[in-house]
Amino acid sequence: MLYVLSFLLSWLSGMLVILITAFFSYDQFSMIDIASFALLTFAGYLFVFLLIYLVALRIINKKIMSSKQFIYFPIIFSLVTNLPVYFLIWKTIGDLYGSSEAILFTLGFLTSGFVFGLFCAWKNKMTAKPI
Amino acid sequence: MRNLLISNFLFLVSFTVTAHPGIGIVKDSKGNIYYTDLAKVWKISLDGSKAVVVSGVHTHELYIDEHDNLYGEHLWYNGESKDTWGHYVWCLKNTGELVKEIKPTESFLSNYSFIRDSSGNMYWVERFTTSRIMKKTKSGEIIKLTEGKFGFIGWLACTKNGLLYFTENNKLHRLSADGKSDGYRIETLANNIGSKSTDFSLMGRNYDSYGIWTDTADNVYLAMIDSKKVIRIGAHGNPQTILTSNSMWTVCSGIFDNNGNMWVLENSVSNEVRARKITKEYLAGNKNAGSFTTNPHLLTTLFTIAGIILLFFGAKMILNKKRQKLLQLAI
Repeated sequence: MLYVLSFLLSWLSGMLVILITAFFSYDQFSMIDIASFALLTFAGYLFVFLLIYLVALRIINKKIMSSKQFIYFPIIFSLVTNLPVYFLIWKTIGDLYGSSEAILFTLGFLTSGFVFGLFCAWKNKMTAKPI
Repeated sequence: MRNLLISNFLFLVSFTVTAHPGIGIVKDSKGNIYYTDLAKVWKISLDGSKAVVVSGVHTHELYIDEHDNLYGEHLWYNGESKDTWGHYVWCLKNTGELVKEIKPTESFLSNYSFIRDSSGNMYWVERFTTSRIMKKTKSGEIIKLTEGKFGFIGWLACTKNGLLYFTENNKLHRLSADGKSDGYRIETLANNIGSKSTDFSLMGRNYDSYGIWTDTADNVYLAMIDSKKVIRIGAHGNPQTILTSNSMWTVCSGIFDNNGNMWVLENSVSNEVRARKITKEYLAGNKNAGSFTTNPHLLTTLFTIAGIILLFFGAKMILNKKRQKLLQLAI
């Protein structure tokens, strides 16, 4: 349940950053744009979440002490685990979308990873065994 | 490939792909408005009543002559096995008789156009690496008016006295006789008419403008199909937004009636077509005529924020319960 919530929360945070940035980037941001960004980020993020995030979480949960998780988790999930996504985004510029859309996708995934990292650190803190 | 991918993707995502909206909206000498919905041609009479005058015709453009004879085409695809197109040109005479001006022919219409001046000269664009704007006189002589390596040239518009307007990417040009010889000259009236939209909206195109029309004062009006608005290019070339459509409709073309009201041809996300009257009072006051305008962007953002807050408190509740259980176990 918590993984589903963390997935939705982090994905929606990424979408929010895309929507807010689009206010300043475009004169027009239609339903087609919103649906396109929503579907592409949802599908991409689901893929990354299941294949990379959950695996990475198992590893770093053991390696990083709980006091440092609030710093390292957001950095790792936004920058390191997202590397294949960033690579794919920039590789498909010009084929599927332009550079301005690629920037929005990058910002969206960066935010989603950051929020997921924070959420995991928070979850670990809340569910840590009381001393 | 890029267009194909984006088009297919958008079809799956939103079912809102607009194939190729028409621009055909004309008026007769009495002030009745005619427009195409790509399957039928409608007439809006002076009393506001609406009726189909020609059915079963896929025409993007219309033309009406000084005798109120209405012209259009019917274009069809012969199926994937043949992979050819066919067309004929029809004319609804002022007597009500519907005749075929050009008999059913394979391929697209060529050396013929519905863009005409009051003398009956036809104008069209040949879009190639080197594009040309052509003219066919009433006697049948075909003349090349200009040619050059243009960007994408959109729809062409012609005034009664033969001034031609066209857009090249995000520029608006006027083509007119130079007055000295038989030559024509191009003037750029506005340089930056486009608005910034995403590649998803533009579907791979790098332009936004669609139908072009003019008023009696020679102001030029452009339907901006992606930014869902009408802009007016005044004497100094500055674009001014005079109308916006709501999120479900986009303006494709327009015309002024005999009373100075503007009629806009609008296409919906589900490919419905309507003609909407914008009164001259609205235009004079520069008021937003789309009174039912909604902003899906703002609404989606607000719903997203609400969703994040709900999920956050949902997660907090679950984690608090878990923590309480752990504390109870520890005690």
